[in-house]
Amino acid sequence: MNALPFQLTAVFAQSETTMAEGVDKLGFMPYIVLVGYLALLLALGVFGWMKSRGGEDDYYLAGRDQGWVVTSLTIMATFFSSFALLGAPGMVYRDGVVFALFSLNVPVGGLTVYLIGGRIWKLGKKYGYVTPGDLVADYYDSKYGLRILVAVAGFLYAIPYIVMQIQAGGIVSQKLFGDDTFATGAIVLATITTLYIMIGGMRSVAWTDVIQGAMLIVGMLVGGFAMLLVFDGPGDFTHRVATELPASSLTAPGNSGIWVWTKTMTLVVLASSGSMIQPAQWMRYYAARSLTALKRSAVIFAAVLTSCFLLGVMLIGLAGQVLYPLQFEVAVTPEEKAEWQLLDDTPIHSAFSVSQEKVAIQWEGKARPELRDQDFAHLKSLNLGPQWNGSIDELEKSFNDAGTRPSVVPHPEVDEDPSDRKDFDAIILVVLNEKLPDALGSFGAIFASLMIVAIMAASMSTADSNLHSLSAIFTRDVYDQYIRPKASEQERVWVGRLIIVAASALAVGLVIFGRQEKGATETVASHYDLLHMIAQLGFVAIAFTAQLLPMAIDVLYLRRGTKAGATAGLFFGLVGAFLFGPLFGMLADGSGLGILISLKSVIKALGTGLPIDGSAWGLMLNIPIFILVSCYTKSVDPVKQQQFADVVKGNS
Amino acid sequence: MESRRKQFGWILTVAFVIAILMGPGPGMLLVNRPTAHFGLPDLYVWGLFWYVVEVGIVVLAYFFVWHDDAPKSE
Repeated sequence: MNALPFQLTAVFAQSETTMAEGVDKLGFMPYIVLVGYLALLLALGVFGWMKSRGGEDDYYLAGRDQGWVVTSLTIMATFFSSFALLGAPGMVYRDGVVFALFSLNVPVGGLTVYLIGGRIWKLGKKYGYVTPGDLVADYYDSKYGLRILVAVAGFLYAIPYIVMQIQAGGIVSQKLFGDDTFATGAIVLATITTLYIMIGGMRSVAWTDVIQGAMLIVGMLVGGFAMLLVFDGPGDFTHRVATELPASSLTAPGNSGIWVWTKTMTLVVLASSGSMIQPAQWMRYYAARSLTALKRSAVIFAAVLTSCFLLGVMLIGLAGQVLYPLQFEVAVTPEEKAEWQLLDDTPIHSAFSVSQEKVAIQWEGKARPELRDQDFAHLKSLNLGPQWNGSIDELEKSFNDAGTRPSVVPHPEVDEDPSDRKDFDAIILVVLNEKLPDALGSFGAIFASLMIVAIMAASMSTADSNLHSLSAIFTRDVYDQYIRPKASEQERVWVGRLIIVAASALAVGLVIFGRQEKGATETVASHYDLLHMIAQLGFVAIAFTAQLLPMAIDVLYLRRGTKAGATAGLFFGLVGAFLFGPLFGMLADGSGLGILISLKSVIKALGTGLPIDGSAWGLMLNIPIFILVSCYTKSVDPVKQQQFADVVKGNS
Repeated sequence: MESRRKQFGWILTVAFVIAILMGPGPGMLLVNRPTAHFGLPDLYVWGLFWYVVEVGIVVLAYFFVWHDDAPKSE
């Protein structure tokens, strides 16, 4: 391997301010706006409780009487998680413009609202369903197996999403108010959210979602616009993006190399549809007042939400790349390290941890003045220099060593931890703190504070919906079926409230524990890695609920499948999504068991051969098994099939 | 009238599938280069174009294909 003709990143020690110091630029504004916002949420919780009429239908579905404004905003707010304002800008910051193509998953979600949600609404109105399990179990006549599996899919979606949102609350707090406030931020977010769900149920959740959804839409679009003001107008912004970013930031598969078209397309088709069929959204379809409410929601979702990503998040992430250039890391051998130390008086370990076996490269690629002749020659051959904008693939080729693809890391001012720089998600907070107040003065401070609250809103609107649906699933599909079938509605609602408290406490514990134990052991470190990248956690959750799609399409459109087919398909689909997602790899590494590590190798080889998302791998097992088993097992009662067909076609 | 509505629905379905194949699908390879048009990277312009196409399809479906047949509640 050639010696690296780059300046080592002694710049790590040169970060001008930490973000916690940076919040000083915003003064007390974030505190005032945050307190006002949290008080408003609690007031809406109380108002929802005053309007409630009691009973499960009211607590879980707001009396099935939500108009199109509330329906569209609550669907959007539930979809908008911390991914929208932390994960997505982080992803654009890491990978560049290819995210614009991933944004095309949102119109698919809009279609799902009408094509799947509309028929779910019709059946829910006719038969009084509350959870996804109610509908599926009724159609397939399954009291146990299938209902439980559907509930498990719901749990597997809701739990990572709740953890993810609470973690986001901690990250926002930590980045703004200092490292020691992570736990406080997570606890405050969880407590306020739990309180207003417990008090007012779906009505409070939906009303707070209206406020939160509106804040998010405005925040994302105005956030994108504000980025243009940080530069000297749109012309300067686009010119700098086109000329200063590396080629790999302007093309697929992006800097991380994951956005090959097969992966992008499968994610576009399955990420939104999988997310729109998750239990919290499914229950929002039941809660709509009319089909017109869902029709309008579908159009608003597709048009408005996609523009938020394409015109808001994209600009924030790309501005981040220009303002805080990415860096790249390559693994080096001890011999190479020793050689480099001879080249330069500055020992490598002073720039980067020796134990990491890595050297970071500044994107600008400034050559060290004391480089040897052959290093200069190598630099010249690569055509590198301060304005080099070649691709990461060129960088990889320069090492002539397969398997040493450089990894991309954020700028040191974005993630200040030199031993573990992975936190791309902080880019929006850094830009808000460091650039907006400078560019826009006191207006910038107010706007930055509102954006920070919008990030909290994104987290809370998803956490509340998932906690609420988790509670419904547990009480309707588990407690009412297996534990106390004769429990009254009132008792079930109270059990649901206790579940909300327990799930919140568990999620807070998991987030805080994962943070504190970081690096203590390999297993915990891996667990922390999973929590670290918000978007990653979202894709894991979506892969599980995407497995409900074949069954939903069968019930709502085809009505050819059988109970055994649906059960087997869903079971193997969930197993497939688990095996091909990041969870299994971490489990295998943590367990140290030979058989699991071998299986992981096989799965990795398959994933390399066909780079598609874990949800698609799950469906590749789910669909054939569903069809095959349905061919040889007892079909659903024809009377039931006809009843469902009449309802979804509007004949009944 | 009903058959024309269904026919138009199928046309829109095919158009949407094409938009998926061209936008985030293999069609992206047609513009996968680090150049810019209208001051914006080609891949970004490509994404914006297919966004307009997809939303246009959804709006057309809203006005001409989707209808409001509601079930009678029990």
